[in-house]
Amino acid sequence: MKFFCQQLQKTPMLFVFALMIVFFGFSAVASPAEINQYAVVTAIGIDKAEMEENNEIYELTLLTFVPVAQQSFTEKYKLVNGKGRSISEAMDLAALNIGREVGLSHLKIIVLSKEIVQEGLFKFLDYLLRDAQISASTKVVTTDMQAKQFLETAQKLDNESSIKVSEHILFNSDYIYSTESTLETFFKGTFGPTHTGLMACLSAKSPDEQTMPTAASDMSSGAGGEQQGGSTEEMITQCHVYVFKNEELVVMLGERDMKKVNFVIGDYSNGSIVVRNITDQHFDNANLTFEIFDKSIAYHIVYQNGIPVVSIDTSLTLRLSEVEQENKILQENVELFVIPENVIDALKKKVTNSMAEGIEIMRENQVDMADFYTVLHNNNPKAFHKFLDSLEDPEDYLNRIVFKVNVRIYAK
Amino acid sequence: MKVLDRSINAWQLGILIFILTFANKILVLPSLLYEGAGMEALFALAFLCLCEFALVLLFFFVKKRFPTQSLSQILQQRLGKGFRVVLYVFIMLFFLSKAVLLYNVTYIFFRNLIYKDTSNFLILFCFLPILNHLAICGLRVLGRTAQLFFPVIFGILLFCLIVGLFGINNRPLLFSNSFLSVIQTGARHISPFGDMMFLFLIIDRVKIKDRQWKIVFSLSGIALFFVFVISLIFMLSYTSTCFMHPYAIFEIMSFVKEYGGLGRIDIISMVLIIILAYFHLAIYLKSFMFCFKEVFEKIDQIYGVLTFNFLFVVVVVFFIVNLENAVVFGQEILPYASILPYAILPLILLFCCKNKKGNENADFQKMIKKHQKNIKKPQKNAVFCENEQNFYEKEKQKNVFERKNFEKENKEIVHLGNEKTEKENEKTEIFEQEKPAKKRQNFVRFEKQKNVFLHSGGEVER
Repeated sequence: MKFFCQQLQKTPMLFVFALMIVFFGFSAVASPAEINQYAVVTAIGIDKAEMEENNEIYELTLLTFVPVAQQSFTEKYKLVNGKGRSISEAMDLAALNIGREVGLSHLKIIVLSKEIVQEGLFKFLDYLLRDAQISASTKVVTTDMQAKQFLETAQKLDNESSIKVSEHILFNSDYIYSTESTLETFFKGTFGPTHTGLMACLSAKSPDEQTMPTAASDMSSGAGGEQQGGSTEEMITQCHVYVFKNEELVVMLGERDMKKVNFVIGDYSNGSIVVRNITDQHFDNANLTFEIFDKSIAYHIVYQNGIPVVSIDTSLTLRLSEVEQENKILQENVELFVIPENVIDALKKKVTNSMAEGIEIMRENQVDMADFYTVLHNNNPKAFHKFLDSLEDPEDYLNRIVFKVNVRIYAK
Repeated sequence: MKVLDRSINAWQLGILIFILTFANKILVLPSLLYEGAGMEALFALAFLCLCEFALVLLFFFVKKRFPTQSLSQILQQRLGKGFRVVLYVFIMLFFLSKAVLLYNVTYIFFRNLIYKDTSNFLILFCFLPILNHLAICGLRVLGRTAQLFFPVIFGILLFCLIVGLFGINNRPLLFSNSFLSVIQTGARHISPFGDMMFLFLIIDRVKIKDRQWKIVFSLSGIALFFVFVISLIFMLSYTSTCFMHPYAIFEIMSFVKEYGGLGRIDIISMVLIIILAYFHLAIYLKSFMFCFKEVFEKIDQIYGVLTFNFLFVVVVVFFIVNLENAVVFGQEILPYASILPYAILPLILLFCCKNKKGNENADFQKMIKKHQKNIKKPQKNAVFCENEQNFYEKEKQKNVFERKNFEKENKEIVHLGNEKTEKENEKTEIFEQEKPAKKRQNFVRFEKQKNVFLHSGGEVER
C-alpha cells in the first residue's frame, strides 16, 4: 500500500485516472439506461389542429420505437401525439406523453399534411433544420390526407409486411416518375439560385390490385408475415410531386408529367418508354415497351444575339422489354434481335416530344427544376447576367432561352 | 516540478505539424467560408494554406541560420530583453485564445450531437488532466504520443475523404462572388491559421538532419492538402445548404450515411475530432508554457500550466458559452491577433537574419579567422641555424596540422552539430536524471559554459 501511495504521488496521472474511473464508473452504473431516457423517433407527422384562443395549434405525431426485451427480434412502434402553438412546444408535450426525451438521431421521415404545405412550409421545417441530430438524408414528404392517418397506415404496413415508407421513397427516387425527396435536396433547391424545391406527395389508398402489399386497417401489431383480413385495405402510393418556388406551392406534377420533366433534368436511372402502333416487317401495329438501361445528358450553350441557346444532348440506351401486338408473337432471338431504324426514329420522336413538353411545363410555371440558371451562369457569367438584365422580368428567363433537343437512342 | 523538454526528431516534428494543421480548420471553417464567398472562398482557403506553409518555410530558413539558438536567444541578442518579453506575452495570449476557440467549437459540437446533457465542467474535467499531463511530460513525450496515434489519424482522415467523395452530386454556382468578398472572407477567417508559430517556440529543441527536411515539408503539405480537400468536398456536397451544416468533417460523412448502407459511419469522424482536439489543446498549452517560461524566468514552469488552466476555464466558462459567441470571437477578435504570426514575427525574424550581430555562422567565421591569426608565426629578424630552420619547418607543419584539425572539427560542429550532440544529449539526460539537485544545477551551469565555449571555437573535455 505504501508503495502504491508512493507511486501515486510520483505519477499524478494515475490518481486522475483512478478518480475518473470512480467518478464515471459509478455514475454509469447509477444512471438509467439511455434507451429508457430517450424515445427513438423514426417518423414525424405534422398536422394543423383546431385553433385555440386565436392561436394556431399544431399536432405532432411521433412514430416511436419501443424496445422490448424478448427472444425473437421484433421492432415495435407506437404512435404518440402532442399539440402545441409551435413545433417545439408540441414536441415537448409529446415528450411528456411518452415520459421520455425525444431523440431525433434516427429520424427517417417527416410527413407534412396538405394544409400545412399550403400554409407555408418553412414555418414548420425551420425547427427541423436547426436540429443538428437530424440527418440531411431524412426524407420529407407531403400527403393529401392527415399526417397522423398516414403514419398509422405506415405503422401497420411496417408491422405486417416490413415495408418502410422511407425505403419506399428511396426506391422511388431512382425512377423517372419520381424525385428524390430528402430534407437536403429540398432545401438545396429552395436555397439555391432557382429557389425551386421538389417534394414527393404520398398517399395511403386502397389498391386496385390485390397482389400488392397491403396493410390491414385494424390495429393489430407485433411480428409481421401474417395477413389479416380487415374491413378496408390500404397501401402507400405516390400521387404527385409538389413543386415549390419561393416557399409557395406552384404546381403538382403527376407521374407522367414528372417523367417529361425528368427527361430534361436527367435525374433518374430506371423507367420505361412505350412507342405505339409500329408496323414494319417485324411488327404489326405493335406497342413496344423499352426499359431504360443507361442514360447520359449534357447541356451545351452558345449565345446568339445575346440570347442563350441551350442544346440538351441526351443519349439513351434502351432494352426492348415487351412487344404487344394482336394475334402475333415475335419469333426472333431475344438477345440478338436488332431494333429496326423506324423504331429508333419513333423512340427519338417520343423522347424529343417528352422533353419539349417537360420544358414547356417548366416555362409555364416559371420553375427551373433543371437548374439551368447555374448551368448558364457557370458557362458564361457575364453574358448570362447581361441577358438577364435585358429582360423585363428576369424571373421569366426560361421563356426567353432557346432550347434545342438532340436525342440519340441506342436500343438493344 | 521540473518539466523536461527534450529534443524531437524530424518525424515527430512533421507529425506535430500534420496534426496542428487541422486545428480549427475542419469543423466550422468550411461552412463559414462558403457563407462569406461561396465556392470562391476556396481561393481564400488556398491562399491561407499557402501562408501557413510559408511559416514552415520561414521556420526552415531560421533554423538553418540559427541551428542551435532558441527564439528567445535570437530576440534577446538583437532586440533586447524588453522586446522579447513583450513579444512572448502576445504569443502566450495568442495561443490561449486559439485554445479557447478550439475547445468551444469542439465542446459545442459534441454537446449538440451526443452529450446533450453534459455540462461544460464535466468535459473540462476529461480534457484538462490529460492536456496537463501531456504538456508536463515534455515535448518528446508529446511527439512520441503523436507518432503513436498518427496511423489512426491518417487512416480515419483518408476514410472520411473517400466516403465524402460519394456525397458529391451537385452543380455549384461558380464565380458569383466578387474578388473583394473573397479577400474579406479570407481576412475574416484568418484566425484558424498561424498555428505554425509554435515551431519557432521549439526551434532549439528540434534535431533535424539536412535530408530530413523533406519529411517535414511533405507532412505539412499533405495536411494542408487534406484541409483543402475536406472543404472542397463539403462545399460540393452541400452548396447552398452549407449554412445548415456547421461541422464539415462530420457532415461529409453524415451526408452519405444512408446511401452507403453502412449505418452511422459519421461516428468515425467524431473519433478523429476528439483525438485531434486533445493534441491541439496539448500543443497550445505547451506553447503557452514555453512563453510563460520566457516571460517569468524565475517561476517554475508548473505555474505556467496552472495559469493556463485558470485563464482557460475562466474564459471558457464565463465569456464564451455558445457557438455564436465562439464564432464571433473567432471572426471579430482573433483575426487581429493573426498579425502576430503573419506580420510581426516574420518581420522580426527577417530582421534578425539580416542582422549579423549574434549570427551563429558569421560569428563562427570570425572565430576561425581569429584562431588562424593566433597560430604561431616565425619572427622576421630571427637568425636561423640549421637546427632552428628545421625547428621552424616542424613548427609550421605542426601548426598547419593543428589548423586543419581545428577546421575539420568546426565544420562538423557547424554542419553536423546537432547529430554530434544528439548522443551526447541522451547521455547528459540520463546523467541529469541521476544527479542530485545541487549537482544538477552545477551541471546545467557547466553545460551553458560549454555551449558558450564551443561557439568561441574551444573544445571541451568532460
